[in-house]
Amino acid sequence: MSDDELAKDLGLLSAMTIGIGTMIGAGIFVLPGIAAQEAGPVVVLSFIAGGIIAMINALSVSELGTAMPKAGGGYYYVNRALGPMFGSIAGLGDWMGLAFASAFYAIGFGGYLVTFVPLPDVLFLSGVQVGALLAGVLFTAINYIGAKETGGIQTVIVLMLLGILGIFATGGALAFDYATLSGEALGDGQSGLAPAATGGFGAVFPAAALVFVSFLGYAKIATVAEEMKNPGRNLPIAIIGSVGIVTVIYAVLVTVMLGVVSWPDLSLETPVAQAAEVAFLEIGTGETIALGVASLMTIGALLATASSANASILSSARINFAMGRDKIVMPALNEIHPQYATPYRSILLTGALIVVFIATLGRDLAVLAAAASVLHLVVYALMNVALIVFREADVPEYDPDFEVPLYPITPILGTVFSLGLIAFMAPVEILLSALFVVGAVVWYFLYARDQTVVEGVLSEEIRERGEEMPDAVVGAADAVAPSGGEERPTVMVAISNPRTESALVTLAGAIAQHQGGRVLATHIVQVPDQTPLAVAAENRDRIGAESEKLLDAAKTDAETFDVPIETKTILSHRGLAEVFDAARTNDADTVVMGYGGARFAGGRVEGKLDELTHNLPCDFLVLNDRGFDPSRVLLPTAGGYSSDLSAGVAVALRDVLDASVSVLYVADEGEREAGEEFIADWAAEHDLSDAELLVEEGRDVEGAIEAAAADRTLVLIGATGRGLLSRVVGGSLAFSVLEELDTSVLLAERPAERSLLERLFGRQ
Amino acid sequence: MTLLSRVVVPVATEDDARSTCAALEPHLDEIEQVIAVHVIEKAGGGIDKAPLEKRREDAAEMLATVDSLLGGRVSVDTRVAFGTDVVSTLFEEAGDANATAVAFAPRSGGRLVRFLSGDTATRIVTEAELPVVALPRVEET
Repeated sequence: MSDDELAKDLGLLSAMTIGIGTMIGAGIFVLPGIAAQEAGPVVVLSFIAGGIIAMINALSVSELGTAMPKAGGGYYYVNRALGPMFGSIAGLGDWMGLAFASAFYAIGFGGYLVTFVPLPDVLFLSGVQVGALLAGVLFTAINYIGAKETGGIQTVIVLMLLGILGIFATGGALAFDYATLSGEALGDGQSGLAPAATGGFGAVFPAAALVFVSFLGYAKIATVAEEMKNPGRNLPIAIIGSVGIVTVIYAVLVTVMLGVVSWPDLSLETPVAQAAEVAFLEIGTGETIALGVASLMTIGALLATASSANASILSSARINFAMGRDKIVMPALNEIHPQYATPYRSILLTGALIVVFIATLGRDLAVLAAAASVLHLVVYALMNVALIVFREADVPEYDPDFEVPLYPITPILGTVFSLGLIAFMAPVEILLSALFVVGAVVWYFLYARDQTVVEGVLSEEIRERGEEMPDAVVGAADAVAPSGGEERPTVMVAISNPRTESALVTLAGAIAQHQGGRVLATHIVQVPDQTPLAVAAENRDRIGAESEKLLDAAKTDAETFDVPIETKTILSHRGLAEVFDAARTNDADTVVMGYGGARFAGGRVEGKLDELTHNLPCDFLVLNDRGFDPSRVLLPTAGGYSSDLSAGVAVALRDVLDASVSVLYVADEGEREAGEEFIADWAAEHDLSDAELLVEEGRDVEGAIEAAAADRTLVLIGATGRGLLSRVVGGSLAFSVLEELDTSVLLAERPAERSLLERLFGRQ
Repeated sequence: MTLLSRVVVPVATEDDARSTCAALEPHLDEIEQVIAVHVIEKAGGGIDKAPLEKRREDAAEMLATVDSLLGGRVSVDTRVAFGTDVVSTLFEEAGDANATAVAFAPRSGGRLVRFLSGDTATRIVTEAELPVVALPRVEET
């Protein structure tokens, strides 16, 4: 087995049991009593309605999850599609939603626990809350320590639960009485399938809003998508399958429960245990067995709520990780514990939230349920919008194995239903969720905006198509766009050895100062191929002293310029490809590097090089250093796109380093005058009117350049054709100017077009 | 061929990587190749205790540290291994690499922490499939 197969060991059955295990804990064991108070017997329809809404969202999650099987689930998709402001809402919403849901599961756990062990009220806490707090602390501790849990356990628990529920269903079906379900014996207003006392059929949707919390498990499958075997196939089956299965289980078992115990009498805390006891007494098994079955249900409920809470805590650590990686929250939150190898900080913080929610809101299970549901519904609505954005923006990297049927109807319905269900919540819950959204946006503007650099597909589209869009829309997109690392143009200089360091940094410094930008000096350390995938080492001091010395020298050299400098050591065995990657990751606008380094690194990846350099992430300046001296610059030009860049560099050298610039144009035989006119215009256009203008006649461009270069110190060539850099670096183009001149040569190439999604997806 | 010719070195954290390298320092002339291994514990079908991607990133960093600290002196090979059991995965990896020994610098930690984290150090010794060398820790300067 390859390493990757070993790393991705979550199979279909395991994934499905994560979904089912998380969901049935809440829906069957905790909610039926409270939900029945809301709607009477038609609460069964509420469960089905919740299941349908969950199923529509499950289809969307499946598509997004197969397109991007990444840790973080909903947050990840929303952040990529809609940008970090909505990403903040989705990520914090998902996280808080999971904390509320865990508090809810813990209260459910406490409710069943007190039937076994009577717990006293403590201060302002009820016995149930005390039990819930114990559970919350226990689950947090288990995940902090990282108890040895193997996949088998989750599967066994879920199979046991299904068995226990099977026993209940059998007894319940035998004791089922339609008259009990329809409430014949009840008084006026309470009888009938849709009793007037709860508001008739009108109560179906408000109750659906309440029971939606029992469907929150399926999205957790998506948050661990990166651990799954064959996610393209297994993820949709697990997500859609688990929603389908639990919807059927809910519909059947809640019907059975209400046919055994009349809805107004159904226990609020322990409905399953109560219904089981009544059912088994009724079918004449005797009291001992009935009580035994009730205890079995209690054990099942404890297992179910515990596994729900556990999965939620693990899932929230994924969301934190994904947010930390995008710097929406502090990356330090995801630090791994040195002994237990767990994301202990994230787990402690989530655990603390759970404890606070239990203590402050735990008296009313419905409030916790509503809070969890409403936050998840907000996330689901955003996720559906994200799906539409991905499809509409025609992102080439977006290639899901599973596609939602009936696009765009499905995601539109998903959005409308998710938001619609929120409308059925109590006004105070809607208000709180609105406050939460405001809070997340405030968090984004106060903290995350300056940190994160990920821009969403949507705002990229709007900002790139600025002219076609209404000003207000562009203005809004600008206003919320991330500012982290984007305030100044970034000139990245890739240093490979001390010999060329000074020249490259001087060049980078001059350009950065001219543009009002900053310099990012990187030292790319080639490490042996066996070393695992290269990783940017954030702490310079972790790496050898050589790197430190080199980057210190770079700092000193950059000090002569009025620009901020940052340094970074990057470990890699990929050479040039790493330069491209680093340019993308750091959102560089210009890369300065040495010709030798490029050529050496390039030689190792011959095949891929072409592909790479045809797809430049930003402007590239490659210096062939033969004693760097920028005092007399020769700038041969034929006009055109790439020469804009070389002209810009010449202007920067002139303004910052007092270079004298000579522009050389090689005209066809007998076209000297036209050439002179052209070059004068060109120079004026490029702010080079003060430059010396040289025009040569003839066909021998290289000879002309060579002759002119003789008394100059630096030749600056704008790569005119796409891929010139590739051919030069790869050695396939015998560009004798580069090889034969005694002066230094600076090759400038500008990408034909910087594609919208490169910057987005280039991070991976 | 000496005992430490091809030595497998388990690395658990960034700090462990540094102190292990420091502990290996006095023995480098006996070593031909250091094979640094970081084992990521898998749940074998359950949800892992930590996000996989985070563990991989950390693994790459700590192994790169070993490489940068020792790479100039001896040949260094680095590997990330996955398994439900850290110790047996480590020995499997050592077997694959034809290692002559496993050398490690036991990390400190109270009894409770050791108990809760599975006491890997003791298990490496008691379940050894290869000669195991416990390196004395060197105070870092």
